[in-house]
Amino acid sequence: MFHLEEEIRKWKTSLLKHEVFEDGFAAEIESHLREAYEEGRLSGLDDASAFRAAVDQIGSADGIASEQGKNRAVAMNRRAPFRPARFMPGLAWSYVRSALRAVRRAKGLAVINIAGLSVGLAAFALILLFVQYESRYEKHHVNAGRIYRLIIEQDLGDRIFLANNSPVPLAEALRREVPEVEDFARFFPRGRIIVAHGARRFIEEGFSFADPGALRMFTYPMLKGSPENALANNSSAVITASLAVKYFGDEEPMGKTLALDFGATVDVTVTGVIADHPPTTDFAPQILVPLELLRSVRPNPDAFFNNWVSNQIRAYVLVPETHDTAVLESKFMEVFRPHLSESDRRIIRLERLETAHLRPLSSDGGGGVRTLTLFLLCGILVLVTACINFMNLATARSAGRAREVGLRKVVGAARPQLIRQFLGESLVYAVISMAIAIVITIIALPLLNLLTGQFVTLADLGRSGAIPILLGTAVLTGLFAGTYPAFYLSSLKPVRIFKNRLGERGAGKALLRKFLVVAQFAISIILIVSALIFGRQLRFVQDKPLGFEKDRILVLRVLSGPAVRGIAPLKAALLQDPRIGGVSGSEQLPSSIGMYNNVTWEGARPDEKIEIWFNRVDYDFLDTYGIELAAGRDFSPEFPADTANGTDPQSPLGVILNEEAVRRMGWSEAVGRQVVEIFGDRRTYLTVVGVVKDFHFTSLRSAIQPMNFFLSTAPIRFISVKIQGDDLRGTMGFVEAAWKRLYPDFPFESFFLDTVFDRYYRSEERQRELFGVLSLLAVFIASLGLFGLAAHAAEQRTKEIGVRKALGASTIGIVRLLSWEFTRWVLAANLLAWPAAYLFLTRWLQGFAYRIDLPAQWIWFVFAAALSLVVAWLTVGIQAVKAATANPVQSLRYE
Amino acid sequence: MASKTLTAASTRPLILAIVARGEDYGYSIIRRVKTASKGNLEWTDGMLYPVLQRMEMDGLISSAWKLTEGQRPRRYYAITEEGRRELDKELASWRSVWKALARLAEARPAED
Repeated sequence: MFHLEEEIRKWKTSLLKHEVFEDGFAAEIESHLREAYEEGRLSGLDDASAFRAAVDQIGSADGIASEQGKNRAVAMNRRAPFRPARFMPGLAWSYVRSALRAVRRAKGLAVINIAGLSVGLAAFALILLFVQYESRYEKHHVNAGRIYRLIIEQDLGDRIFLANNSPVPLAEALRREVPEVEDFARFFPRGRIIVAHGARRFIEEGFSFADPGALRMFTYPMLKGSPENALANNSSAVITASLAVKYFGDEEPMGKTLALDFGATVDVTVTGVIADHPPTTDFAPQILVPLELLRSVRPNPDAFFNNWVSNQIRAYVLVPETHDTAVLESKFMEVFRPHLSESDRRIIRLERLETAHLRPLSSDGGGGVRTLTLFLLCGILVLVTACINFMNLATARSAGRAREVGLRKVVGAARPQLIRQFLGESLVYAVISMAIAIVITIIALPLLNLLTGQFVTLADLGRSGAIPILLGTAVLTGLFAGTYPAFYLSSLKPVRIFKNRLGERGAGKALLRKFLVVAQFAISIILIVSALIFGRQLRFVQDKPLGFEKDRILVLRVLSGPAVRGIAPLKAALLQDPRIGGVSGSEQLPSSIGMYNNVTWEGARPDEKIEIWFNRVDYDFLDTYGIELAAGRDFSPEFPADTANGTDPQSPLGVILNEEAVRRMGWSEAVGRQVVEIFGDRRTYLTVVGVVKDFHFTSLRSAIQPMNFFLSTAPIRFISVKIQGDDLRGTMGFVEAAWKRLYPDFPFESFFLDTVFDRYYRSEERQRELFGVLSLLAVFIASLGLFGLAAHAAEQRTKEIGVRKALGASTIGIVRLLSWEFTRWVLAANLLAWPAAYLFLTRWLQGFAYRIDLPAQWIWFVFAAALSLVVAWLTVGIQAVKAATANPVQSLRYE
Repeated sequence: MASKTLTAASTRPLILAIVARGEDYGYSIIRRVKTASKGNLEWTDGMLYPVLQRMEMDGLISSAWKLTEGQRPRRYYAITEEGRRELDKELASWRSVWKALARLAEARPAED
């Protein structure tokens, strides 16, 4: 029995066996079949015959299929190839999700990754701020590039000496005779004075006499008064805004009277108020009075104003925008030379204000451009370490994502898409790190200020350009870090990924990573050794016997009043107390003797002279300070020679020399010999009454120079009081009470001598602290890197460890296996770091006249090596123990 | 009976000519060819459909399923602008072939 629908179904099923026929095509042919069948029926055929005829008429499915197949092929060839969009919004969420999954799978690694880079970036930002702060010095002066300080260079035969001061008439003469000099300003800073307004009476720092040109040349914004006439007459004074508030409160300061006491007492009227100085200046006068005022207060003003011999005034000149320093120097010399005596070899040198802070002509260490370069270098090293780390860790993290890449490729991801995905991800991490770095920087700013004594503010951070630099660094680091996953992973063939054939690949990559870790460790070791050696050197300097007592010496500053002219009454009053071991006065402190003369001596060649530093001291000075005599005697009232005027060779003035002076004069026995002090045309005849053992009267950066003591009971600038016993506070109170009783009108000001020494080494101390912090950071970052790498290595060898354990390896054996490899690399880092650190430290130590012997400090190199090894073992050890104690069943089932 | 080659070569112009007169469906196209050629052109019905599809791919014709009350759904083909241009070209070449053939065939005794 023929059943039409059943037959058609069968026919269609056989037709559809050919893949090329789509449903629509089949339906169309079916429709054709039905029409043909119906026509057959109409022409009188029976059911079965009509159907068979229709099927025959349509023909074989194979033939039609092969024809249709050609169409398919043509259609395929014609279609434009599939090109994915550059960014598919639909995939964005998938990217985020897989990135988050990767983070979740290795949380620790991700945290380490971001933390390391943040800390590195923050450290770099802080150093950048520090460096920028230092280079901002004096830049607030609009004319900073046109203002030059006159420096006097003196050839002393064995060395060049640069005096920061110049002869008083020089600057004025230059203005008069050299057309390029548009203006000049001389400052005669007198440091501290007593200022009184009614009942208000304070000691003020930063008092200076100045030419009116000071207000024109320098950018001292005038809040009141005009730069033209604020220093025009002899009783005028310009003060800073904060002083105006201090003395006058809300009242109008202009026209008010201040009584100044700088040894002499004068009343001045406030004729101008300048804004407070920014912290980035090395010279910040608080009270300016006209230089001309000196004519009325100095005993012999003409001698002062016409003195071409002494370099005693701080002088600046203003020159045109375009100038040649060398040409100016020689033009200036034309003016200076006629005033020089035959043997006077002084030369004018110009120190540009703009660069005076970082590149002073006469550099006696500290804060210089070299230190800054050093810090910047360290900052860059730390940053590079952090970046290397970020890349290493990012690479290690992405290695586990090969399968993701495989799957993405299988479902149609093109390589550029994968590259963009991984680069983008890495960039996001980098930018997050940067954001955290900025937060760290902001938090650490006060710490930086504490460490460096600067006043860096948040506003500086914004304007420093640090943020664009950080952003650039972060983006670059992100891009580099993303390179491996982006380009390596995306190049993998899915088949290889899924067949797990990735294990044995490129040893080159691993080698690069190891090299980077070695570099990191080398950098850390250099920093550690440097910080340690800095510390040793500073300790050495601070502990070195100076040749005089510096502890328990209370120094009273004498600014004015009767004490300047003699301290006998105070001395007598103080010595009554047994807690006081000695009292003496002096013009300068033994720790900072800054005045020198030229002398010649008995037995010197004609014209031979040396420069000799000197201090004028009262009786008992040597005793008070415990300075030992090598020969002769101390000053004593019993010997009239000690107070002779020395103008006549027959009645010479007694002096005490130090051993270095005796050595330089080539004497074996000095006591009783003659020395002649040369000052211009004037000669002072001296006779040696005693020789003291050498003591350090300046920073230990410089070697001990020849020096001598003169006896002088007036003027006295400092009174040194030696305290015995432990009651420092009580004794200080007693000293102050005695002062107030004797000199009730004069403020009491005192300090302990050892604080002066702390100041000497402050810049070194800061360097050491900064290096300490930096080396800690570097170690931290490097161990993060090592940790990540160890984690990565342990993970890659999971199976190996599992097999080893299954075969009976002990936990210790496996830990040793994993640690040994890293130990080798850290040892290699030490080999690199030691010579580098040695060279660097040798150069640094050359800046000290008295320094530790570097080879004798080998223990610290070993210590740094040991430290790096311990840190490495700890970081790797954690990973190794974790891997080694894991159940082998777990690790073998893994994958 | 036309040769296989000639049948194959004439398929496309014939289909174009048919749909140029109005849209039509597969079965009807076959019938028209048979009628017009008085049975001289022998097509295997099924082979028509791949050809139609190819012509549609080439943009000469377009197609659409039509559902009419009381009839089975049929896919109708209509000529496109490009199809008409193609038909004109085909006619021109067929004519020139025919002319050449006729001229040569008739001229032969005279020339020999």
